[in-house]
Amino acid sequence: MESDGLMPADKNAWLELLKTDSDGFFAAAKQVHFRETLDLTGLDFSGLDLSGAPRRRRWDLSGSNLTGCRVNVSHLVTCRLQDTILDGIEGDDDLDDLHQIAALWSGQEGWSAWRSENEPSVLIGANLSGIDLRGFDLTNVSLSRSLLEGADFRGATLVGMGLTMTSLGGARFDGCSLTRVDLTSATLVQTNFEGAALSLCRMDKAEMSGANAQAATFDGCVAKALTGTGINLSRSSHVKTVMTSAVLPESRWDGAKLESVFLEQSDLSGASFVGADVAGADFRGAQGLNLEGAHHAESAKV
Amino acid sequence: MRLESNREKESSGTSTDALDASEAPSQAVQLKEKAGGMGYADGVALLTPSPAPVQMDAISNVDTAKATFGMPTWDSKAADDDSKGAWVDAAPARDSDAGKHADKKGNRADNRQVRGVAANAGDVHAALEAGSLSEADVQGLDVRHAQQINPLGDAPVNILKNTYGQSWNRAKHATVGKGAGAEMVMTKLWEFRQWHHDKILRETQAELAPGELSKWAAAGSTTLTSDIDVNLKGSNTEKAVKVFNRRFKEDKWAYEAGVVYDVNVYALDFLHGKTFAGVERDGQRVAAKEGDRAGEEAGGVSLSSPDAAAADAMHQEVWTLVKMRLYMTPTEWDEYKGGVDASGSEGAKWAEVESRYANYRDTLRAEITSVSKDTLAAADEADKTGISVLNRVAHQKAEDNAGVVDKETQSEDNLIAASNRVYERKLKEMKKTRTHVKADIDEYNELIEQGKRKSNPFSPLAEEEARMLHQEINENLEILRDLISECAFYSNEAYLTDGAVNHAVVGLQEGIKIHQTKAESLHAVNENVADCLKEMARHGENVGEAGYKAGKYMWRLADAARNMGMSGGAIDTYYETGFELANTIKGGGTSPQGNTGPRGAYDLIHTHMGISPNDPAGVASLKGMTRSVGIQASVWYKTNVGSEHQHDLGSTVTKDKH
Repeated sequence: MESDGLMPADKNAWLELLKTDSDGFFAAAKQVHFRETLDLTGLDFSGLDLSGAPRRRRWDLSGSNLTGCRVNVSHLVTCRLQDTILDGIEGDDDLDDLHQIAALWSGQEGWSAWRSENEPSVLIGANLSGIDLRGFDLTNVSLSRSLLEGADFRGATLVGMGLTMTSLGGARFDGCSLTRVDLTSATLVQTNFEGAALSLCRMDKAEMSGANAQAATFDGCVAKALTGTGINLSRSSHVKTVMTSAVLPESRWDGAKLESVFLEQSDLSGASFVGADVAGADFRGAQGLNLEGAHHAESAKV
Repeated sequence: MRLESNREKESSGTSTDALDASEAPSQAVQLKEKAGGMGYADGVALLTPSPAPVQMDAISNVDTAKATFGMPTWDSKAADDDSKGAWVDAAPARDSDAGKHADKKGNRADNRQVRGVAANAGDVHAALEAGSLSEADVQGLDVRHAQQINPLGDAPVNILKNTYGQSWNRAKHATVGKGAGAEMVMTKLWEFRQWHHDKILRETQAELAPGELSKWAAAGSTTLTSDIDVNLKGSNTEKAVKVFNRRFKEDKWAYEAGVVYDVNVYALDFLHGKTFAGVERDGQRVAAKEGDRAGEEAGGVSLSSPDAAAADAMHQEVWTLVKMRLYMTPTEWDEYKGGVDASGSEGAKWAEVESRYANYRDTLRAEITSVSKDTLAAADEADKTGISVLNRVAHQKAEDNAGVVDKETQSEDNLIAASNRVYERKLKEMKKTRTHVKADIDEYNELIEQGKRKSNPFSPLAEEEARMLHQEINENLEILRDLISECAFYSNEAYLTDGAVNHAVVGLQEGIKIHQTKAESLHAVNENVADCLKEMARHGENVGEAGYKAGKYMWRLADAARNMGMSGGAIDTYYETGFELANTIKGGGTSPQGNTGPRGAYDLIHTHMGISPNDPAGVASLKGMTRSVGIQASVWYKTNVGSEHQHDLGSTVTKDKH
């Protein structure tokens, strides 16, 4: 973020502006680009009124103290709240979503305890980047449009989960079982699915550049218009996987087993299929297809 | 509600005993209020200023009706102010002047469920009213005892709970066609349901914040076997569904409302405030979709974004095919796919349908059994439809519970409860998504307005944000519409797609002459094929029953096919037969052979379609023919419409015969 004279120079200046001129604070906050996250970490906001926070502007409030603040709940949900103190806050809506976010940040035991007494609500746009979700039971939890970059899901129970339009860049799903998980339009750049088992997952329009899906299994998954350069699908296994109209240049399928995979109208420029069994693959209309070194290429539909 | 004396009505104001017309409303209201606090006899006496009897007109309020009428009954057309249907007095004889009540337009007719029955303590059957009689006892009951059940009292609850084990299905099967006494008991249960579900809805409304549940519309015929589908309106109908289901159970019922009395409540789906008013497209009226915004007044996914619009249409089509799969066996499904896609070029589409079907099936199985995926490994059985597989899972769970006596009802509840819980969960996501899209649209509209201003116009950031919002709204609407369809699939017996809902409700039920895209018409065809198969399977004992129940879907599928431009052959046959079944036979009319009801339905199907005999084999032929019509329609669409013309408008939807 550039300081143009109107913008506070650092986070302490932001806090000072809020204390002295709240209208000026919110006006300036609105001018921060909607793709940036405003750093307001480790500050003491206790007792202040944050309810005028502009929509679509993400703040990192990790480690900050919001005790007794007035807040706009739908905005606060989109802020990063790791170790944020939320005691006695007053909201314009019920605080269930915030309690759930706090439970997610509290670790596996805290989450289990919270979940045993609460039904998870649907979180939209939460900022949970970097969260450690190892071993969590996330059955039927919905975190659509959220930020989960770098999150660690290893060992978690991932059944019926909603991750539509969620940012999962660099997240770890290696070795996980993902059953009926909705990853429609999710950002999966550099995401690790090595050895994962994906069953009946939806991945339409997901972006998987640089993702690692080596030795992963895809069973009944639908990933139409999947995109991404350099996805590694070596030794992966596919049953009834729909990847029509995918754009997957430089993807690696070496040693993969493509038992009924639909890759029609896809861009496979530079893709490698060395040692892959493509007997059940449908490549009709695919661009840049090179099946050199593939097994049963004669049986594939091209 | 109006009060008027019989004499006034009979003698056109010549009676000196009649209330003066100019004074009548205020006096009547005062008297009614006073009478409401009295017993029936005293109330009537108060309201009778002369020896002439006073006719109590229609009353929608249950408590007032209970205090007013000795034996209340439901008149489905009578109006109390603007209500459609109200409680009236059962005592006047059939079609007597006193038995006729004015509807909202002022037309008077006798549409009471029970006629010519006054309260008579001598005929009250204590054991019946306590629910102590068995189903067989009720079948041998003298009708005069059943007539004495007050539908606004406690007896219907006792009977439904004790005699019929809280199962509407059991009650229906043990009463309809099983003697006058039994049918009268069912009539009283039907009347009980009429007010009781409304009471739960009012409690639901009271629990929610103002506006979250503003009103509701209940659809269902007056036949004893009909269900009631309640479409909720308001700003948080998604929450209202869950509250209704919970409050119903808290009313001391063991099962879901769908099991106890066949009432299902639905959140706002594709039919919203602006749908019926419609908007103009290419000089034609189309049903407005959710998400109208600056530059996109028709709502929905913008046709100016061809990829998103095509994806949206494909999502909708896939849901219609998932519904078809649910009501086909694996073998029938394979035959269907082979018929539509002889060249095998659409494997990806079928794989997507099967993935979603498996997702739905496994989600419900997991919800029913509360077990892990590993336990759900059993494959579909070749001779069973998808819904039969689910029923089997639900039944198995009931069998496994040694404490359950009524396995059938418990099995039914297992499946409906699982559907309801998943539906409620999915609705939460739908509500959040809806709120998110609406906020995006509000912000987008504001930015567009800002851009139009001469002073303080768009900043570069605002312009970038508007462009991003435009794209995001389209994508979110595509996701929302997909989610609405998915939610509808988990609810019981609702259309899944925009096209099928608007065709049936806006076009054929409301008679609003809209146009639909050819893709939407195909979706309506597919859904109605599935509904035909569902009803034909449910009522598979003979062709007459199957046709009687499936007739409206036969009509709708053929009508939708005609709207997209298909005609001749089987479509004409289905249209002619379906139209007569839905409008003549279901309306109480007769076949050319002079028969009514299912027998009349069989006459029409036999005559027009050549199907016989009137037994399960005949039903199998009817189902086969329906699947074949579905195949023909899809093949016709691929050949004559395709992706290039899928958004073209078809011909006018009209409920008039054409």
